[in-house]
Amino acid sequence: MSWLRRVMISLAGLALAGCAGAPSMLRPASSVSTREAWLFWVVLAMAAVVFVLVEGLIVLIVARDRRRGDEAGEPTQVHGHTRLEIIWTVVPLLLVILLFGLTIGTMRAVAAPEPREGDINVRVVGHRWWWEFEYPDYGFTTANELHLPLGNAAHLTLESADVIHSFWVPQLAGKTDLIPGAINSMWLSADAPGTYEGQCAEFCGLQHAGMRIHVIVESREAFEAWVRTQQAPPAEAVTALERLGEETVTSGVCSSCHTVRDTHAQGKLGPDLTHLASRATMAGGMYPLSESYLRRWLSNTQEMKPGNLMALHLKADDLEAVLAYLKLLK
Amino acid sequence: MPADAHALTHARPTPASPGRPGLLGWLSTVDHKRIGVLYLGSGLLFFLLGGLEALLIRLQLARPGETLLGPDIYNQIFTMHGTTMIFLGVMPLAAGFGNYLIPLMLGARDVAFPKLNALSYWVFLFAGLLMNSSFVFGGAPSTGWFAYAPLTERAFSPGTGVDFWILGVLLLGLSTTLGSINFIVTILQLRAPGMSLNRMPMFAWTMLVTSMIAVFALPSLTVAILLLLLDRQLGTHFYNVAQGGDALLWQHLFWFFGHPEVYILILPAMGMVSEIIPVFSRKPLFGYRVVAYSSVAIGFLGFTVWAHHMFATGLPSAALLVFSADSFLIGVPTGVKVFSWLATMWRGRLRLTTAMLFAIGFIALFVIGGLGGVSLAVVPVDWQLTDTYYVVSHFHYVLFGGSVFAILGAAYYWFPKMTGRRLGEGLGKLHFWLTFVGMNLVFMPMHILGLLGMPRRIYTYAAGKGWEGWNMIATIGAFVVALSMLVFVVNLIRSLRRPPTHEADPWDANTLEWTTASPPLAYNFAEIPTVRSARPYWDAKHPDLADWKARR
Amino acid sequence: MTAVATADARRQGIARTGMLAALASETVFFGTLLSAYLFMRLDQPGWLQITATPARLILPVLNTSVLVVSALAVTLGERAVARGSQRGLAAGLAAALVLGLVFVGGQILEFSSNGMRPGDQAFGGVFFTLMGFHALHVLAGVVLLGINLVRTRLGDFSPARHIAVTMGTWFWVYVTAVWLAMFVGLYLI
Repeated sequence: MSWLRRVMISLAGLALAGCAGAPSMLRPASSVSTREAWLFWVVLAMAAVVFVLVEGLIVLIVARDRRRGDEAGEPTQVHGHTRLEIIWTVVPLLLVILLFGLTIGTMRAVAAPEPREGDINVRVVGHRWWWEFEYPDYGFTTANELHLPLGNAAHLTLESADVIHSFWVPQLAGKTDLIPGAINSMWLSADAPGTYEGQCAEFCGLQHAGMRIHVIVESREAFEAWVRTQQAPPAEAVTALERLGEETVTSGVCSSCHTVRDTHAQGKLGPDLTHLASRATMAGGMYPLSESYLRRWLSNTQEMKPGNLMALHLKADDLEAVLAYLKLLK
Repeated sequence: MPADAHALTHARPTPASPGRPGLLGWLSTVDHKRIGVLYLGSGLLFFLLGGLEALLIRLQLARPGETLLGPDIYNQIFTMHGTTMIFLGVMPLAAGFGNYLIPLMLGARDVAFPKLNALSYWVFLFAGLLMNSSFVFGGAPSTGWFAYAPLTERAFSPGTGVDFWILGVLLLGLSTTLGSINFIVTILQLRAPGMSLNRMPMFAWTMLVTSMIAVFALPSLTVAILLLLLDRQLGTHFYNVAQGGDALLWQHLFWFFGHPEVYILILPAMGMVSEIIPVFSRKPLFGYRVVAYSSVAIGFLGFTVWAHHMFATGLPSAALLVFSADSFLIGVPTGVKVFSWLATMWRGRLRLTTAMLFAIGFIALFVIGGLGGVSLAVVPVDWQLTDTYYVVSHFHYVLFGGSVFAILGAAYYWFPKMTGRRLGEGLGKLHFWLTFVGMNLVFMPMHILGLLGMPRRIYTYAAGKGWEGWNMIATIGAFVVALSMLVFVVNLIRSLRRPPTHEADPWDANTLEWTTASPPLAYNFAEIPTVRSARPYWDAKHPDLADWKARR
Repeated sequence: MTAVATADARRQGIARTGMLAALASETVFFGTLLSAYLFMRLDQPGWLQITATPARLILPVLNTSVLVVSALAVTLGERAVARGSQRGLAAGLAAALVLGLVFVGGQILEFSSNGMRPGDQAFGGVFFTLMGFHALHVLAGVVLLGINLVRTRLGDFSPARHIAVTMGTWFWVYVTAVWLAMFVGLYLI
């Protein structure tokens, strides 16, 4: 597959020069997306032929058959031509049958393979407006940032805690909806290491635009190291400030919505914070995770993500304490 | 000269007003021509409103992280943009032309149920005003024109916006159903002597099929929204999963209506184009019967493809394949029509009036939209591109490049019949080119945005993904389109202020409406003519080239 | 044909086509409602529903018979006016009207006696919605019958001109047929 992948990416590069940072299906990084990109180029080529034919005919006819003012009588009154009508019914029919065959073939090619040793299982739960990722085989839950090892398939189950969402990381796979009351499944297998972006692709309310996904594909060793970090218990507060923050987060206001494993904080409404500081982004993947962004968030959550379900204004001392504690949660 | 030809070529030129004078006359009218004008005027105003909403959307999306519109107001605006353009813009404009023209084209004096016709209009107007009033009564609906459950349930949409939307759409459904029954009965029962179904104007065919689609599709929408209303107001649990309801039920019910709805939007436009092209090519419509039967085929097939809007929802593969296959199939009769129009123009004698430019523009742009649609029928490609700007591009090519272009062409074509004057051709050509260029500037980049990963219905986006440049181009294009609409409105106003010339047949056309005065007498025809072909006026003016003499 | 007869034929054609189109619309409406109900049932094997014990079915079956008899009455009434019997027409219309109201009363009794509320679990809502919309249509039919009854008294109908009676009959028989489909769907399967 990787030769095909390289061809696809070159084509995309030709067509979309300068769009290097785009989460584009035409820069595939998985076997699934590579097949889908290939199919798109084939369909586009067929469409281009029809386009040139039809638009060309229009230009030809308009240029050639315009009234010049010097003609006498009327043009020949042609009412139809059965043979022609049959041809332009049958030929398109054959073309769409071909497309249908390609459709079936590609659907087969991207269908989920049998699970194998080393495959990763992830339970994805969509919330307004963040992503919960549970790794049942490893016993931990994280949010918004999905890590996967290179070379193994990842089988995802998709559920929703509220309304319909859709999981879409274009370079890795087509989208699949998360439907309340149902469990959908999808799979992907990344071919190249890197960070792949995506976002929710089914309108889910105020911050549909702020429900972003980051998938980090890394070597098996790096992935296992990450797993071990996530499995570890949360860091303990040491200084007085950190302990004050720990108090607020694990027993105070934060605990009603968030979870920090092995503490009193067992809320399920917001993302798991146990290893918040190990993530690269925050607020549903909208902002880089840094002290300044976190400070801005805690002093007024509505300013950075208006309409989100966390309404908090922490002030001065409380804010410093919580910040100090959260920074520990690597 | 045979008696009918005499009747046809010697229409009295003096117009007579079809009703009481003044405002009361317009409010109490049951005349199809006046009702048609009411639909056209209201439809145009709502269309401009929808256009303003589009400009706001484009301003917000021109730059990443733009703060002109917050998420709540943005979501209300894109919801109302879609709802307004579809239900209050395109459908009433098509109904306006249908109302005005169908009785005239069929050689009838009015529609079958004139009072019901008036009721349909006033219900539509009330519904449109009701829905838009939601902006000031607690907020417009903000859940998209397609209103997916469970987002629209009370728990997630607690305000009254969704309820306004439901009530408005219920009333619009009633208006459209009544109007459709009226058209069906009129077309089936009130045709002039000699006018078999295969001798009526193609616009009448498409209005017939459109009306039949509406009768069969709208009840599904009615059920969907009634169940939602019951969930929201009476605590039932149709879409509430926790209590035994089903989140996908909404999508099935909505799209069972929603897909045929797009054929309701495009078929009248295809009918208009089928009238304009033969006249300005000086040839008959190529393959009349095939074009008529394609419309019927599209009508039937349109009911079998609804779940192609649901390819990503986890339906079983077998279902996906069936809907994919039908979606491919429906491209075939559509293609047949395009080829028929081209064949009509082939070796004709083209007069490139503004109406003809818009009709040709329709073909050029509709083909792009149609090819995009075929690409979306390819399930694995759809998995990537559904719910992205690629789809937004597709449907705007068929709805704007298609329906709106046809409606604009129809405006230039039938304006003389309705008002006794022509729209200015100079401004008309400017209008056309601005619209054509502007439209492509807005929507062609959206194909690319979808391919670059930009999903739909987002009020903002991050920089650095390559989306900024294309969005900016689209916004510029939107203002070019806005300018083109301004040119059109100026043309309308200036043309209406010129004294009327009352030309009955300014384009040297083929069908019965051109045999009446401009504007027509209150009772349309002094004598109802007998027709012998699909081009009765052509036959009368060119007896040696008459259609009824031709062997195919 | 005389001018009047042609105009009459045209009017009757218009009425028939219009009613057929309206009934087509209604068929999709009820069909969609029933399909939605069946779709919801497909997902849920443990669906709470009315168990069809013989005792439980007495009221619904009784009610169904009432409606079927009323359909018979209105059909006989239409035949009567075609034969020239004004009294036959009036009797048929009146009987159907009364039975129609009895039916609606029976539906209210049925719904309140099985203790379900619209908000109870999904089935309560489905039951209420299906029966409720049907009952509304029966009431609309009652109004139509009532108008026709008044017009009979006013002498509007004759053997040659009674299209309104025929249309009312079509509507009433249609509403009865819809009930039979619902009865099967809600109680028997």
